[in-house]
Order: sequence, then C-alpha cells, then structure tokens
Amino acid sequence: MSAELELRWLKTEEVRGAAKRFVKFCKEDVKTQAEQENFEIKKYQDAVKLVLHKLDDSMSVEDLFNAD
Amino acid sequence: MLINSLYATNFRKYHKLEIEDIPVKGVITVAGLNESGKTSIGESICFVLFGRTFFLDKKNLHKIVCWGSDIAEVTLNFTTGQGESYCLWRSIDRNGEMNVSLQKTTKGKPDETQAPLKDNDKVGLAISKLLSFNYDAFANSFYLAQRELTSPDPQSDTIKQMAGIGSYAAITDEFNHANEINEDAISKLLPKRDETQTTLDAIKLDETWLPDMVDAEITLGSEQQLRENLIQELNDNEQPFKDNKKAYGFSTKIRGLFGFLSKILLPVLVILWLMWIANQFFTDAFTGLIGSVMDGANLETYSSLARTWLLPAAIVSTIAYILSFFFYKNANSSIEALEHEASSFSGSMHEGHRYVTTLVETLLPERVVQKMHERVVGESTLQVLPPREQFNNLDQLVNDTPGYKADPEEISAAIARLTSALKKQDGEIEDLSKGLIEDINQEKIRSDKAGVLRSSLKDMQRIMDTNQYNIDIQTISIGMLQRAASDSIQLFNNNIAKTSAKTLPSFTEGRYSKIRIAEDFSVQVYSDEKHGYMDFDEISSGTQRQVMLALRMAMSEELAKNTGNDKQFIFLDEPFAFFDQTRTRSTLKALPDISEVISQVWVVAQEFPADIEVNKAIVCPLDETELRV
Repeated sequence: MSAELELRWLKTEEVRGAAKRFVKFCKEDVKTQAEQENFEIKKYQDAVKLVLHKLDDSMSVEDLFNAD
Repeated sequence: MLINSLYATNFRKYHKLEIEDIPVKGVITVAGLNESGKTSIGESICFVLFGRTFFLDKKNLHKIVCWGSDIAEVTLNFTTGQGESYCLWRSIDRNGEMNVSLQKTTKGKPDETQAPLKDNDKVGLAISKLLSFNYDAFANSFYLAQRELTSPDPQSDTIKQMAGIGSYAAITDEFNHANEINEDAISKLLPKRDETQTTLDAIKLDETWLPDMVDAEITLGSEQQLRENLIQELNDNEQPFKDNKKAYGFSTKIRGLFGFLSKILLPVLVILWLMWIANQFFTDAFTGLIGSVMDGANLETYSSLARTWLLPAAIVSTIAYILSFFFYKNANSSIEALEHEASSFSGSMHEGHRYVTTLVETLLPERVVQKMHERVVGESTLQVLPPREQFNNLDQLVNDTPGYKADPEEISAAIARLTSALKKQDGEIEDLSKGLIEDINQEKIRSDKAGVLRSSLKDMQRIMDTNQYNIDIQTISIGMLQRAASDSIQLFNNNIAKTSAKTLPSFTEGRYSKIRIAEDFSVQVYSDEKHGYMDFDEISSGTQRQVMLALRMAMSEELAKNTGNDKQFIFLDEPFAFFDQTRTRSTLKALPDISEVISQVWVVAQEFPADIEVNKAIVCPLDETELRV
C-alpha cells in the first residue's frame, strides 16, 4: 500500500471527539475507496481536510479567554 | 468531565452547601428524606453548567433563590476530558439577573496569568467547547433527573450526538446547500461562457496572421531603406567616377614612368657604388684590372675621372632612384584607392541590378503577398519586373568599372535607369507598407477583442472549474460522512450492546442480558427466559426502567467517548424508584465497575443498604439549611 493511502498526515492524536473517530474511520475507508474506479487520492484528501475543518471548532477556549 | 468540589449559597433550601474531596472514581451516594435537598444538589450542578435546571424554565429560574435571600450562587470546580481544571461560578438574583465567571485553575487555585471569562455568551460557548455536549445531551445522559425514564427519541439530536454523528448531519446539510450554490453558479455561467465562445469563434482569429504581417512590414521597411541607401550611393558615386577616371589615367602614367626609371636606376647605382668601393679600397688590384684592358693614357684619364666623379655619380643615381621609387609607390597607392572606390561603385551597381531584377514578393510570406495582390491595382514590382533590355549592358559596366574602363556617359545612363527603377520600387514598397500597416492595425483590434474574450472565457472557466471542484469535494465528503455515520451507528450499537450486557443482568437479576438498538434507534431486549429479543413495550414497566437505566449508562459512556471525555461523572437522581431491594442492591454493587469512562457515579436515593460500600456518602439533613461534607 502506498504511503498516500495510509494518510500519514492525518494524526489521531491531534484531534478529539467526533474528529478523532472520523480520522480513524478515514484511515480505513480510504483503502476501500481506493479500489473504486475513478478514485482520486487528491480529491479524497481534500474532502477529508474539508470535513475535518468543519468538525474542528476553530476557536479554542484559550482564544475565548485571550479575546476577553 | 469530573467534579472536584461544589459550593452553593442560598440555593433552594441551602443557605450554604459545601461538597469537597469528591473521589474521581467510585460511587457517591446522596441520601435523605423527602425535601431534604437531595435533588437540589443535582440542580445546582445543572444550573452552574448550563444556567438552567431540569424543572425550571428561564422565566421561573429565579425560584431557585433561597427563601428570604436575594441572590443564589453556585461554584463548581471541575476537570475536563483533557485534564484541565476550571472554576465555574454562576449567580442569579430574584429578578432573574444572572452573572457568570469561568476561571482556569492550577492545583485548585485560580490561574493568575489569565483573567476570568465573565461574559454570559462567551462562558456558554467555552463550556460547550470544554464539555463538547449541550444541555439536551447532558439531560439525556449524564444527568438523570428525578422523573420517568424514557427511551431516547430516535430522531433527536441527542441520540446522534451520543452516537458521535451529531455534527455529521449538520455538515452534510451544509455541503448539500453549498453544492446547490455551486451548481447554480455554474448554470448561470454556462450560457455566458457559450455566448462568449461563439463570439470568439466568429472572429476567426488566425494566431499566426498578425505576426506574419508584422514580419512582412518589417521586411518591407528594411527593403525600402536599402533601396533608398543604394540610390543615394549610386548618385553620390556617379560624378566622382568621372573625376576619378582622369586621375586614374594620370596616376597610371606616372606609375609607368617612375616604375621604368626605378628599374633602370637600380643596376646603375649598384655598379657605380661597386666601382667606387673598388677604386677606393682595392685601388691597385682594380687599376691593374682596368690596365689590362686599357692603354696608359686612357687609364690615366679614367683614374682622374674616377677619383673626381665616381662618388658624386653614385650618390646622384641613388637619390634619383629613391625619388623615382617614391613617385612610383605614391602613384600606385592612388591607383589602388581609386580602384577601391570604383569597385565599391561597381558593387552598388551590381546590388541595384539585383534589386530591380528581383520580385519583392519573393521576400514575403505567400499569404501576405496574396493579401497585397488584392489591394494592388495594375502592374506592380510585386509581380512585374522592369524590361530586361534596360539593363543589358549593366553586367559589362559592372565588370569594367573597377578598372575605369567603363564609359562615364554609359555609366550615367545606366545609373539613371537603375535609380529610376529603384525609386519606382521604393515608392511601391511604401504604398504596400501603408496598406499593410492598416491591415496590421485592424488585425490588432481583432486580436485585442479576441484577447479580451479569451481572458473572460478563462476567468469564467476558472470559476466554473472551482465550483465543479467544490461540488466534487463536497459530494465525496457527503459520501464519506454517510459511510462514517453508518460506521458510527454500527459501532454505537455494538458498544451499547456490549456495555449493557455487563449491566443489564445485574439490573434485572439475570432475566434480561442484552440490549439491541436497531438502525432507527428503537430498543429491543434479549430475554434469557424466552431466548429471543422482545420489543421494549412488551416488557413490564418496572423492568423497562431497569432496561432504560442500563441503556442510559451505556449511552452516556458512548457520549463521553465521542466527546473526548475519557473520564466522566453521571448524576442519577432516584434511579431505583421502581427497583425492589434485591435489584437495588445488585445494581449498586455493579455501578462502580460498569465503565472505565463513567467513573464518578452520583446516586440519589432516600436510603441505601448499609452493607453497600460507597466512596463518598452524603446525607442531606431534613431540618437544616447547611451541608458541609
């Protein structure tokens, strides 16, 4: 399996909750999806990043304290 | 999230409530008779976290303020799933005015490096981020208020949040909406793009046509300049040739004369110098030699003449030779310079001859010439050369000119014909250039128009491509989220079944062993007696509460895991209301070991069996308003 399909850039330890579970899911899902016709790893990776961006609430509690 | 300590003043029946040293793992029992303030403890936790209670809506929330007091306050020290500690304080007065403060703590003391957060909305946002669940999820999982236990609404956000797919549905909706916007943008641009493409096609711009014409225009300009220079050169050299011809004849004679003299004088001066040397330095031998061919009188005369004239004669002949050689060389240089000028003139004539006998169109791209033919009316040097007989003798003249053999009159006549033909060509080339420049300008306008259209097309295509790419990515994301949701639900159901398998037998004295949750989140229970799954409403209402408690524990564990709360408290207010003594006892025994995640279990009941070991026992006094434990 190529390094690309392992989604090594996705680190489960950097996320938590729903995002963590989603990352774990993607690491398995990509292997199945890669067998599909017309699969494009670049698009798959972009889609993962997009969902993670949505799942990740960008403003942290620390930001809230610092903004006050 | 784990509770470290809880303080309240003027909250419900309590003027003062202090619960400290709360164990992070184990069972904390809250016992007491009716109206002893057991439920108030749970309400104070709910109030401080979410600014509400299970039983009081916002309008009636001020009723939590203790009778005879103006303001109620609750302080909660807690640790998040990430191991960070916070102190949360909330107050409410009789008018319902609420204030709140959130402060990070280190080892139980406020973190002085960070000012507390005091804005109501910001604290609410910070709490939702720290806990990762909202009030609804809290009330349906970790906080079991004193009420009927009900099965979760399969369509509720809470159950999705528990399964860890709460945000998936919202994100999927967002992507579907974004896809609609992207598709709309494409469908609006598509006709515009097609229209622009049609306009561009109609221009029928040939990308190579303008460069060809520009090259042709440069070539014509260059050819025109060459002809003008040549005409100037021919005219400038015509009269000098006539003048030079005379000078060339004179110089030729001078060179012949002095060349001849030089040839004569050289041997003479050599002989004279040899004789003088012999006479001067080898007198006896030389006189003897002369004497052998002369008689005495002649020898005497010779000797007298030789002594007097031999040296002057040698010197004079030497000077004469030098002068002759100088004049010879001077004349030769003049001849060479004149011949060079004549050669250059001859070259110009030859070049002129070549120009007038070459069609201009051979220098230009074929299709540019065709375009010019359309413009030119009548004969032109483009296609027609001047009559050849006009230049019949030109080759001969070109050959004769370098040696000044050509007749100046014939030269003048030939130059006149040549310059006339060149001027005619020059004029026509200028006319052609003007036409060509007009064509170039028109083509530039067309090219610029096409450029603007192309640029516009490129921009539209880029926007359409971006929108299409977004659609592709969002569609892939939607599929991914659907698969992830399905995966999560399956995992959720498996985990619920696994966790409930640990609790349900204890809660039901072994009558039921497993809970199964269908895709639609409906609940079924496995009966060991009937050896099969039963629908939830098929079992007795008492057992339903026990099943629901097991389900609540399992779902709470899932919610905690899915929200990053690896250690979580749960507050169960009167969970054993319909339990008999045996089931209460076995449930209480099972609670500490049910879950690694739901580690801090608060249980409220009127009384607990004395033989059950708990980690902290809180007994609420009936007639007192202060409680410190």
